[in-house]
Amino acid sequence: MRMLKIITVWAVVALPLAYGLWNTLENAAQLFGG
Amino acid sequence: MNFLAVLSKERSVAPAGYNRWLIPPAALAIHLSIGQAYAFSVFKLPLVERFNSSDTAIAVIFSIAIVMLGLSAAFGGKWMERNGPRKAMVLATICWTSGFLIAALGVQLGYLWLVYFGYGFIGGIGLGIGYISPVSTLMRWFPDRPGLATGLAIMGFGGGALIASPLSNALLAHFGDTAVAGIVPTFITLAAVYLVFMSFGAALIRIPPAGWQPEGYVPRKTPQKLTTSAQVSASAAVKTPQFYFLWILLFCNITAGIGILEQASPMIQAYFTNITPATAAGFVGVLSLANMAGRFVWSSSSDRIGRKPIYLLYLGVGSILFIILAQLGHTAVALFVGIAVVAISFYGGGFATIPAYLKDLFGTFEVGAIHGRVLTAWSAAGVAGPLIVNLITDAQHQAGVTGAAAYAPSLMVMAGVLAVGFIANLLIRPVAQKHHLPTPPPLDVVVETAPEPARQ
Repeated sequence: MRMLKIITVWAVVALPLAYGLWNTLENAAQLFGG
Repeated sequence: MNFLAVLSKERSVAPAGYNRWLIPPAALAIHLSIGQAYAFSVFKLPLVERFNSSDTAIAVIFSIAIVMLGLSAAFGGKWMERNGPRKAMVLATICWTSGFLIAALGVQLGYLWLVYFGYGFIGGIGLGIGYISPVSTLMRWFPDRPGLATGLAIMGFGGGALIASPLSNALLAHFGDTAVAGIVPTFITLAAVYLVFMSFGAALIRIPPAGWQPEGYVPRKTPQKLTTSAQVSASAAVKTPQFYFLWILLFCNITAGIGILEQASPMIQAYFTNITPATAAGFVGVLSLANMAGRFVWSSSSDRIGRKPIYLLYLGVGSILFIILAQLGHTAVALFVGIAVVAISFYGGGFATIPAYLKDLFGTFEVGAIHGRVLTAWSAAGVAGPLIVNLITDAQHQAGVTGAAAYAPSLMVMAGVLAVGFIANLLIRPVAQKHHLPTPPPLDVVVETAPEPARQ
């Protein structure tokens, strides 16, 4: 239960960050011809 | 009254067995939100159009916010230490979200001054208080890995822009046929999102019980040369030369980093004629990632390498990288991008490692307040960096110099700025005993529950 709480809490901050990273990587791909 | 009692430092003390890995997400929730400030440029063109004003008039909004960040961190640090991180986070939440709402009203009514006041002044206070709010708490939870802990939080400030930039663009497109029409609902939506997200952080944050230490943690018997076991108050710290050397090295590190960040897009297009604006935007994205990653990677590495050596790396190697960029950057895109990425990772690392450096020198007693005062270097560099770069580059353009040659002088000046920071770092010695507090201060409130080692 304690571990579930930690995973949930980390997911709350990790998911928006993943959204931001994905968008940035999509932009960055253009630099390398992607 | 009951609501305020919930926010008190006493009510924020962690119960026995509280897992310390719940603290970094609380800090990240705050930093990911206020990191939106770095994505403010998304609103630049719509605001210029809405107010029919110059670029400079709109850029002032961000400048006021950064100046207020430094001032509120400097003046609010002691208040934050006295009242605890939760109250500080709630204050930051109120200022940051009401800043957006006031700015939205300003946009609606057509009053630019109200946007200055809302986002710049009020929002800037939220930035400063929010930025320092989790730092000293994190270092008390992670005495064994302070660089990792603060690196995680301050990485969030870099990450905040990565989230806010695409989110704001999507909201602007969703709410209006034109970006101008979308500004007000976008500001209101962002305020609501940040209210929820930052409140989550404030609810989650806990301070460790008095005397708490991580399980199995044994403080070094022979501490590193600069690391003190004594405590120095914020008012005593500003009387030490170490404080000013740290201020100078942070100022130099930020000024030089801004030298690249400020002109990243036009610079790469000037260096390589085949680079399009869209590709240059990709380069800016790569730099944002390097900035964010550097905060975590370098700051956590400083726990092993030591704070002084890692700043010698940021400033010394950083200075050499700027010289190579100025002299050889035009030879290949990969070389240009590679060097810029490492240099910007050092810029991020410099931000994230400073709290742990302060802890080493001054102890954890009022490290949040001392950190707040050092952050005035950020405000100063936020003004000096763009000014230096723009003045030099404009002078080059007026003299008819184009392409890479127009940017080389400003990069060389920034190499010199980093060298000054390198020397300041070399001069740092342990804080003299006369500045130490005579008796160990109570680092946290005493609680009745017996402290129990938290899980790793």
